[in-house]
Amino acid sequence: MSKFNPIEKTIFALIMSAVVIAVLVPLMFFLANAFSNGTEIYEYPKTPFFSLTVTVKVDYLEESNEYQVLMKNKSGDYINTINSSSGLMLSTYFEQYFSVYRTGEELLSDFEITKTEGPQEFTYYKNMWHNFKMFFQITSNADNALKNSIVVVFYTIIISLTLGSMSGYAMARYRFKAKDQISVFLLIVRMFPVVGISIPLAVILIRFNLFDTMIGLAILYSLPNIALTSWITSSIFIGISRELEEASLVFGANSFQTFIKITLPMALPALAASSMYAFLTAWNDTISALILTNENPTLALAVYQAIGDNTTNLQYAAAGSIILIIPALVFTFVVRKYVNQMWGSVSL
Amino acid sequence: MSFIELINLDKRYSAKGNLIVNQMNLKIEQGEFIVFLGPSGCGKTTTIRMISGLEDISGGDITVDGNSIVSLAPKDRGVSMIFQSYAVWPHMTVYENIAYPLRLKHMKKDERDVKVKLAAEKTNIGDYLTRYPSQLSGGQRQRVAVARAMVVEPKIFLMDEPLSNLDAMLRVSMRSELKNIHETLNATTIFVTHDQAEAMSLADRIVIMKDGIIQQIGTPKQVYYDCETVFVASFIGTPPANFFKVHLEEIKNQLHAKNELVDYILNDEERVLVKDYLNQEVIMGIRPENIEINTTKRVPEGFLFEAKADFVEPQGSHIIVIINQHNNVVKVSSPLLDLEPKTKIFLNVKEHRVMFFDPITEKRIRKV
Repeated sequence: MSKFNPIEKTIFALIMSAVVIAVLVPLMFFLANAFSNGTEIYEYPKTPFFSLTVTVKVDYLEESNEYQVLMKNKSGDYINTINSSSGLMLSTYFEQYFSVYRTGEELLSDFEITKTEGPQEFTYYKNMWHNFKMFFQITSNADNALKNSIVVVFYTIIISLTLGSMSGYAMARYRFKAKDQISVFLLIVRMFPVVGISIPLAVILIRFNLFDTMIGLAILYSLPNIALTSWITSSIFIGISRELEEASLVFGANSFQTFIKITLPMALPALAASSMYAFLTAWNDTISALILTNENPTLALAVYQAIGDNTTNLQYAAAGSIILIIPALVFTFVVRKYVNQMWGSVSL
Repeated sequence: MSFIELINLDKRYSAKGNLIVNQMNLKIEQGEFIVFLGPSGCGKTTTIRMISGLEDISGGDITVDGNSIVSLAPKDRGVSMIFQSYAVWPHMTVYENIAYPLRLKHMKKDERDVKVKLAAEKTNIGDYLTRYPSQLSGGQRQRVAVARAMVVEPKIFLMDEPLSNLDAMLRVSMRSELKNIHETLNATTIFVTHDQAEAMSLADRIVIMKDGIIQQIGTPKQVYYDCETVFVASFIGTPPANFFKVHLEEIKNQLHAKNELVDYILNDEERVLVKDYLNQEVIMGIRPENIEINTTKRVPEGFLFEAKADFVEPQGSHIIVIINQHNNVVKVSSPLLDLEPKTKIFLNVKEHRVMFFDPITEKRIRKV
């Protein structure tokens, strides 16, 4: 940093903080939604922070012998929510709209005091996992979808890394006719919109009895990723000195052993980066899954359907999205270690 | 029968391309230290790559112990190699690097362990076995490459300019270590270099190549004092030999080798040698240290010419005198440390140590 003067430092700091804000703010709103209860989700304006507790003001209405429950929102106003004397009704309402898990008897005994002392405020802890529980309840096939997603990701990585790294190696090491054209063509495949390929592919997959299977879906996801993997790995393979492979050949390995034990480990950063792209393509896609599956949706598709089915309970879909994010986060962070792992100052 | 034989070896990279190695014939005895020496692009590296099997051959044959090895894969040829860029695998520790050839032979772990440690000890890298190559200096990486090549106990050791990436000091010390290793292992070694000092100090025999053709095969002394071609005489030695294009003419019963600068009277032995070239041109080659400088008087025996010393380059133990006259640049190595530039000097050939070359073929004129 010392090579920058104060003005440059300030500009640099401003840019960096803008980047941080641009990443953090949407993330915070996202989390705030996912952890909102049924009432908070419709609050306006939204705050980027989620609350751990719910505060209600309870008044005892003598004429109807009911408790009037008013929820305190973030700006401090009270909103009338429910008037009731039934413990069951109160308990159900609290669970559904406040994400507070408390039995009817407990609530009634809490509120008893308002009969003598007048209106009182009560603060309850929200059950933070309520939305997640509800997400799995309303999307009946969510756990199956999670399994499907993992399977399709696994297939996609296997297919695109095997074929992609092989073609990348060929691009880097061998001279053959139309090599440039082929490598450009690979990029063109990458440009196809997936929807465009999905529909004709659906017809083919039905013919091969692969429609609505994960392997069929993985084939579609692999198409652009084979091209990408081939590009990424070939640039790394070019950088790997031939002498390293030749040394292995002289010291007793055949060419297959050399590829597995010498070339591939050194291309690990490229493979890690490619597998990350493959993972993200397969994990986040909804539109192709929508076209190519029928009864076996992936998790991303399940979340999408949860939004479509529950326009009133968006927080459940938001919770589903969190479930969708976590494996992607974990995978990316694990793989990132290898992407950054270059072998010191030794030229590859 | 020789241990390694190269028989009419040819190499071209494309069907109609130039011959990179042209009809090469060479016999190497067991335990010999052979150095391939030549300017870059002369085919020396290609030749050892053909011996190692990394390069196909276009014609001829290579035999080891009488058996042709050209159809064998590199791993089955019993060779081990040290590469110019060391070729130490960066994703393996030093130990793994050295153990790799043994692991491929399915050697038992404890046996392997002993061998790796021994090789590491011999090359002074015993303390670095757990490190990665990126944590080592260039010289240490070179030692790893040497240890790895040693551990397989090869029949043939191939070294492809292994010292060219090291700095000058390390190069000299590694040089003597390689020589030492060769002496202890006694494996047949082929060493490629373009550095004549390396070649001179290491080799039992030097093979000097140019444009894919062997110019001379001989001991360091032979290739220096008994050059086969003009190329060898000009390539070896710092400064290289001095050349004079001279005309042979008989004057008063004496054979003179004359040009605009030189007038050298041949002795009887030399007269017999060049008798076919009377009244023709030949090339005279004289090593810089075979020319004697006289500051005071003209000595008739072996007299070359008299001139003024144009430049004097002190080298510590001796000086190099440079004379630039009549388009001839003559460099003379002399022990006269106090010689001043621009002094008049008389030059003589010591003991008639002159090499005569044919001006067309540039080959040495020898007794028939």
